[in-house]
Amino acid sequence: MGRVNICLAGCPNVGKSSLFNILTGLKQHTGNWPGKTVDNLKGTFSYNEYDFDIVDVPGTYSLYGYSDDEVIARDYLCFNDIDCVIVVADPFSFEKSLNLLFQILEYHKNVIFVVNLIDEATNKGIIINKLSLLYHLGIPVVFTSCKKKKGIDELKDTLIEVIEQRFPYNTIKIDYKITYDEITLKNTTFTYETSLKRFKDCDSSFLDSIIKYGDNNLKEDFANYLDNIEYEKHRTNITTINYEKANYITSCCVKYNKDPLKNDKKIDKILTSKKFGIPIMILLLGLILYITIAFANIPSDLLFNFFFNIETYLLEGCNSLGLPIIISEFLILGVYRTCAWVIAVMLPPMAIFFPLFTFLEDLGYLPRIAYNLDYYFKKANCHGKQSLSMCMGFGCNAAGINTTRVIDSPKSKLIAIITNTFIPCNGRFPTFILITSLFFVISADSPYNNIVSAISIAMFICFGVLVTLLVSKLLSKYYFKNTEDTFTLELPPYRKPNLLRIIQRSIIERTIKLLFRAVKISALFGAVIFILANITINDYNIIYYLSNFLDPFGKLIGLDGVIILAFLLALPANEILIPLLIMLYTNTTYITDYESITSFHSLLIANNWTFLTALNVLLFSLLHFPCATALFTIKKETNSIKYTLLSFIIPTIIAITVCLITLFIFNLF
Amino acid sequence: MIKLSLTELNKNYIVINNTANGLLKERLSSLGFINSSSITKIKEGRKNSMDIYLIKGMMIALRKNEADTIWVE
Repeated sequence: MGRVNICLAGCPNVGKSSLFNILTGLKQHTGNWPGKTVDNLKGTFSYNEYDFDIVDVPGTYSLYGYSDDEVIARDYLCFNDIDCVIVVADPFSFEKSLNLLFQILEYHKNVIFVVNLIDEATNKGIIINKLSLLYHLGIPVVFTSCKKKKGIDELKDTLIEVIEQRFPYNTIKIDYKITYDEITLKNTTFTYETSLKRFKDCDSSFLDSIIKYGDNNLKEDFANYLDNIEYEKHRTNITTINYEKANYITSCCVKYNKDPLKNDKKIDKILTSKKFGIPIMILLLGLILYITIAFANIPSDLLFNFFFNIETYLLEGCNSLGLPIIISEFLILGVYRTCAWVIAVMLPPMAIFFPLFTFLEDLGYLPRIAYNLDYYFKKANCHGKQSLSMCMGFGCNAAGINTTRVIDSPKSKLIAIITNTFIPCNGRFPTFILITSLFFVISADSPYNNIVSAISIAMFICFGVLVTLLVSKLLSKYYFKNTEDTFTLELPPYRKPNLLRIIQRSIIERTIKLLFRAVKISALFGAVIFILANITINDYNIIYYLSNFLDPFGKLIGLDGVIILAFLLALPANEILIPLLIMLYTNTTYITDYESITSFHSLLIANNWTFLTALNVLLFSLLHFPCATALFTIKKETNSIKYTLLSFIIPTIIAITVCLITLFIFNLF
Repeated sequence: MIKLSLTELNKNYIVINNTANGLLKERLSSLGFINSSSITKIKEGRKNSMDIYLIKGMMIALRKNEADTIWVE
């Protein structure tokens, strides 16, 4: 028949994304903590001759757009042609969903109210009277359970009933006792009538959205108008009246036979306890990191063998095509090899880390980490939720930066983005393990070497966390001092994670997406590295001149020109730092691996590496600028070149300063 | 009338005033911290850290200074 635009809206963590998955068949991640859905996710499905385009907007408590995610949701709901809005609620905190529903009903006529997780509610002693709800709201009400796929067909049938205008709407009307003035416009005609009607309770971010989706000429008119309205007062009044109504409806329709959060409180007694909260968290994160590091080697080696076997065939193929040797080497040993290297080293740890971390996320554990650590983050003048982006940073800093979206305060979000690079990602761990095992040892054959190496890595991680807190404090105190900051944290009920979905989503949404981004940048850098290594002037390649040029600076901070150049050329991915060092020290023209750990050690010693060099390489690696993938993500997330540059400059200055300090201390002895 | 942060554990109170300003006031209102809402402190964190409150069926963690803006009885 025709295409129908529908939108899924709801408060965070009500199972909206699960419903989206079931309706579209397009699996989409459903993290169990507030504000998880990253952008407007789109999908399609067909039912009874109708084709539905469905958009899943980020979870929001209201249409006032307090955080970036909430602005995305608000803008989609207020400025798009939507045939039907499905407002999803969870039965555990019914009133917050009704508050959102009432706001959406101001904008949209065709609304369906879906009470999700209905089986879970029944198990926890919550009884909801559907008919009574239908009577009070005057709009269609559907009960669903995504786990058992209950109510899905009923929802689809209701959608068609609404689209075909067969549902006798008798929508609840709430009188906010506000007189909406008519706005006379000087320059333009404003078409969004409903938005205009609600304009009195909206702030400047709403004005930005009106301009974004409307007309630039509106800016002057509305800016003048905005000066004269008291949106805060209106909003609080509207929310109060909404909650009063919600409270009344809940008391009429919902019956609680027992405390639905009884088990959650019991679990929280342990997981958020003063004694066990942090040790359990360290244990879980340590376990995830250990599993990632311990089990990534085998698939990594398999991938290496696979890619290098292909490399031989590709080189032969190029030769048989009659390509000049330099071109085939450029394509295969330059571009292909760099990309293959990045995939082989990056993919396995990500494919292990992300599913494990997503498991904790779906379980609902992550907000508990934010709760446990907020005490320390508060001391650093920042946000407990920053700990979540830091945890994710262990897997990949770009993913960590994406995670900062859950932070409500723009100030804390920026601080979390700028400081995320101080958390060593999977790409840097191989360097840490290799260098500490060579230089942080008691003697060549001591049985305690592994323990010393592990303790050294743990100390580096702790130092990274300490620098994060310190820099966050300084940024908050001096750079963002005038920015308002608030912190509220919802601890959602614990949920049983769906293992299959976790694996699918963490691999497709996180691993593949980030890997693809890294490979694109690596291909470019592979080409640059090859060109620099192969163009010679007076018998020496450009790399030789560059490393000589950087040598005085490198020596100044206890490193050398080759190390600095390797860090710069490893911008696409930290994973290629070690192969780049070998390439530069051995004067080969393409990145290459070491034959044995002993030969690599000898190579470093021959190039005047000492314990101080190793220490400073690791400190520089821990604290230096983010990789290109992370920088790209920062640009995308902040939409600001200024903050992207700051995210590059601040860590680099800190890395240089710390290296200077260690050099100074070593020179004292 | 006392500040929310000073309430007794597991005892039910009623919100009578949200004295926060700006963004915090609105954020708290959206979460149900409005007059006549029923609220219970269900967990005390360490000194100067967050406490957990049960409000409108949600478990919300608030820092002491933020909880101090809510008056209850």
